[in-house]
Formats: sequence, structure tokens, C-alpha cells
Amino acid sequence: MSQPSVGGASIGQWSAAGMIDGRRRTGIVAIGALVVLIALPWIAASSGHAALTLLVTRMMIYGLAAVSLDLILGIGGMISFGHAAYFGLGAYVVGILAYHSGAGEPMFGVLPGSNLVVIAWPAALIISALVALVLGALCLRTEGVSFIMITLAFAQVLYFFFVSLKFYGGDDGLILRGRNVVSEYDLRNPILFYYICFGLLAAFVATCRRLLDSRFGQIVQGACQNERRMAAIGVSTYRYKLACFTIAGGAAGLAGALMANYARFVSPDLMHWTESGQLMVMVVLGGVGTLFGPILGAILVVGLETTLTSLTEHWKFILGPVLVLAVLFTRGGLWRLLTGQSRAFNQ
Amino acid sequence: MLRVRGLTKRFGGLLATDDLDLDIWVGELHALIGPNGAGKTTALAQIAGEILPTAGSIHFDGVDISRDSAPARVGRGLARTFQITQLLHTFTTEDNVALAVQIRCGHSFRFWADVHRDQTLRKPALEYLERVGLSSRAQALAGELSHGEQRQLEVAVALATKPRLLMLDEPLAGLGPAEAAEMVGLLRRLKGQIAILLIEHDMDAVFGLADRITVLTSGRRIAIGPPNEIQCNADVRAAYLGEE
Repeated sequence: MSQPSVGGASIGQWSAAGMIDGRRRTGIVAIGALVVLIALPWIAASSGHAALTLLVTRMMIYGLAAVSLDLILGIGGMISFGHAAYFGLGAYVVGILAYHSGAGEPMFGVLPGSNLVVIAWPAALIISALVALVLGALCLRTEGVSFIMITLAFAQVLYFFFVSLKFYGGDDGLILRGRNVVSEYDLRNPILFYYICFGLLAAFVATCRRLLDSRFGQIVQGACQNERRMAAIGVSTYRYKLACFTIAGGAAGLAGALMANYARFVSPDLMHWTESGQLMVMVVLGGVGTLFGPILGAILVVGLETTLTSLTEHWKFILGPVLVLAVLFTRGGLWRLLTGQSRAFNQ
Repeated sequence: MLRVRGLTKRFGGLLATDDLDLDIWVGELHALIGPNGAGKTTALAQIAGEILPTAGSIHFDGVDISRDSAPARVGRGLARTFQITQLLHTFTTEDNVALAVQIRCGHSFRFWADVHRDQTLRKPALEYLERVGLSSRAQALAGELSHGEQRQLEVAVALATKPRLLMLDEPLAGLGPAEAAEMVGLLRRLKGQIAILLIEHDMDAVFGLADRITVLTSGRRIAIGPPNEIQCNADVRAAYLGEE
């Protein structure tokens, strides 16, 4: 992880005129990507590659998790190395609720399970957000390397907690009998599930874009750049950063809920630190602080994983150099390369 | 208005501020001068709440603010600028000021409305830029401004917090003659409207602007008084010119 490219304080300068041109190009690229993603299930079906829909679904789920990480890492300057904890937690909420629903026995003898989307998914989102709120409240008392380490430590605590939770499969994880259901439709239909994932991802990115220009977003971005300046204009940024951390945790939890449905399987591996690292790789590859970029990063990483694992078990052997090349030559990630906002190496 | 008593700051063996007393009256322009390393900026940082003093008290409007956080002191009407400019470089000039206006307007847990279209922020922000003479650069990124313009922006941002005491840390440092003259003109316009604590090495500006001057050497006050008295003060001459 190249330190200077992480965090907004080091974001290079580009000219105001270049930024406006960049905005137009951003619009064109974003709309192009939108059209491709909407049309994809048809393209896949008509070209006889139905499995492509599934693959892109997986990319979008990781995309959602990566964008949520970018919200704190790129926009808020909070380099969390434990973001997979919320991803895994969301998955476990869905998994555990489904388990109790299937077994017909309530949790702790009182709470009934559920396999309904309208219950399980909001539950995943809310519980992940609440855990992010509590852990964030502690972690945000530190900064810099300590913050990175303490977020990592808490994520590993959660990981080992679920490993030791033998009742829900422990190390082996938990298999879901089926996907969650929306009234009478179940999400087994891959095209329906694809569009749901797509819709949630698009909605979250749109919300984040909106958030950036809000009063809240201005404070978070300011805090990322210069805490001293923020104190000097009279704001203590802690609670704003905490709110941002909580939102990101909730979104990662939602991505986890989707992942549980996608794989019909949850395990502690979802919250292992390597998973957090992988989310970071997606963000860095795609472009820190760009919100759209991490989706590209997710597409690339998941794509490489899928194509390369058929060749070799050690696919990360190839991912590593790709990451190094991207950091060295894209000047701020693939997204900035595509939209012409590459920052100069003048800083 | 501001009353500092017995302010002391010790960094290990170094006594950066030594039993400093300082009073600033309402509407006064008070200059704080002294040779390099005299502890002027350290004293300012303690008044602003960025550094906690080892001992001593700071009262503002009769209220003890010694334990208040830096943001809380800004809320009370105490603003500062920085010797090394601290701006949000990827924000536009106008956005830097608008953010200060926004914070003054209460909490910022508003997640939806676009601040760039919020006239309650834009209008005051432009007015402050007008006051410091930067309105033509409103849409430029703060990081692209010249050094002099960044200093002007620092002042605009500080003014946007609606301070009653403005503390300026070497606002003329590194400015060319024309820019410096502009900044002095700005200070002259501000003088009388709000109280100002000015740290500055440019003696022409200090003696031309200040109502009273406090002289520091090695963290200790060696003189205080109106400019003409300070000019004739033997201790001050000794400190500055090394006269025995």
C-alpha cells in the first residue's frame, strides 16, 4: 500500500478547468458503464454466457463493499484495515436469521428467524452500522498508524468470535438452504438478483455523491484534508467522522447480506483481514476517493480471481504486480486514468 | 476583553512561555513582537487552545476558557490565522470560506442539500472574500492561489467565524511589497471593528498599526506600551539590536 496515495491530504492539485472537463468525462464514463450493466443480463443470455451474469453480480457486491470503504478511506481519510468485519457481519446476520427460520427454533428462545428480504437485509444493515458505531467510537480516538492497527485488531476479534461460534458452524461456516424471499418471489432467479444488486449499488453510489456536496460531506472532506484548519474554524470533527464510519459500516453490512445470498454460504473467512486487504486493493486499484473507481477495482480483482484461479492457485502472484503497475502508472487509480483526472506527480 | 495571567509553557527543559501576562482591550490592535524563538506563536497557540499551558489562566470576556477546546474557543469569538497557511487545497476559495460560515450556522448533520447552491452560505462567503479583496478568485482552488492570496484567504476564513478577537500570526510574512501594502490596508480597515492580536516582524507595519505593543524575549514579557514608548525603550533596543 503506497502511503502517499492514501488519504486526501495528499491529493494532488489539478486545475479548475481540467476539473470541469474531468466532470464531463466522468459523466460519459459513468453513463456508459450504467448502460453496459443494465444490458448485461441480455447480452449474457443472448451470447450464451449466462454465467457472466453471476460473475458480474459478484463484482457488484464487492463493488458495494469497496465503495463503502472508499467513503471512509478516500473521502474521510480514515484508513480502516478492518472493513471486512462489517461485510462479514452483515452476511452472518442473514445467515443466522435464515438458520433459525429453517430450523423453526427461535434465537435464544425468543427471537424468531426470518428469510424475508424486508427483515433480514435491514437487520444486516442496522446491526453492522451499530457495531461500526461502537467500534468506530473507540477507533476514532486514535489516528494514523494506530487507527489502521486498531481497526484491524477489532476486525480480527470479530473473526475469531465467529470462528469460535460452534453453534453456527464455527470455522466451517453456515450453509443457507436458499436465498431470501421477497413475498412470493425468491431470489433464486439470477437475473432478478442481478438487478437487485445493481439497484442497491447504483442507489448507494448516488447517495454518496449527494452526500459529498452536503454540509455533512464538506466537513468530512475538510477533516480528511486538514484537521488543524477544521479546529480553527470551530468544529470538532469526531462525531462527523464517526457518522461517516457508521454509514460505511452499514453499507458494508448490506453488501455482506447480498454476499450471503449470492453464495448461500457464510463463514468467518468473509471477515478475515485478507478480505479487508482485498477491499483496500480494490479501492486503490480503482482510485482512492473517487467512489466510482472502487467498482472498477472490484471488477478487476474479481475478474482476475475468476480467470486466473482456473490457471493457478496462486493468482495473487499476478494480482500483486498488477497493483504495483496501477499505482505507479495510473496516477491515482484506473478511474482517474479513464476520466482524465490523473494527478501530476508534483507533490 | 482577553486577560492572560501567568501563562507558562514548558517543553522539557525549554521555557517557551514564561509567566506571561497579556491584556487585550475591546477594539484594540495589539501587536506581539520579539526576536525569532521568543515564543510568540506558542503563546498564540495557547490562547487559541491548540496547546495546553503548563500553568496560568486565560479569561475571555470574564469567562475562564483555559480548559476549553480550540473549536469551543472559536465558538466564543476567538479566531486565528496561521503563519504557515492551513487551507483546504482541493476546495475552491469560496468553499473554504463557506465552510467556516456553515460551521457558525450550527450543526452540520444535513446530508442532502447541496452546499454549492445554498445561498445562506454563498452570499456571506462572497462578502468575506470581497472584504479581503479576493472575490475575483472565488472559483479558483485554494491550492492554486498565490502565496499572498492564500494569506488573504486565511484572513477571510477567520473573519467568517465572526470573531471578536482575531489573532494574526505573521500575515505579512513572505509577501511582496504590493501584497504587503494590500494586507496592511486590510488590517487598517479591520482595526477598530474587532480586537486584533498581531504577531509580525515587519516593524513599519507594527508601529504604523498597533495601539499597544507587547515585546517578548525567551517567552518573557520585557515591555508593554504604545508604539512611541516601545521605540525608546532601552530593554527593547537591547533585545533587538544587542546593545548593552
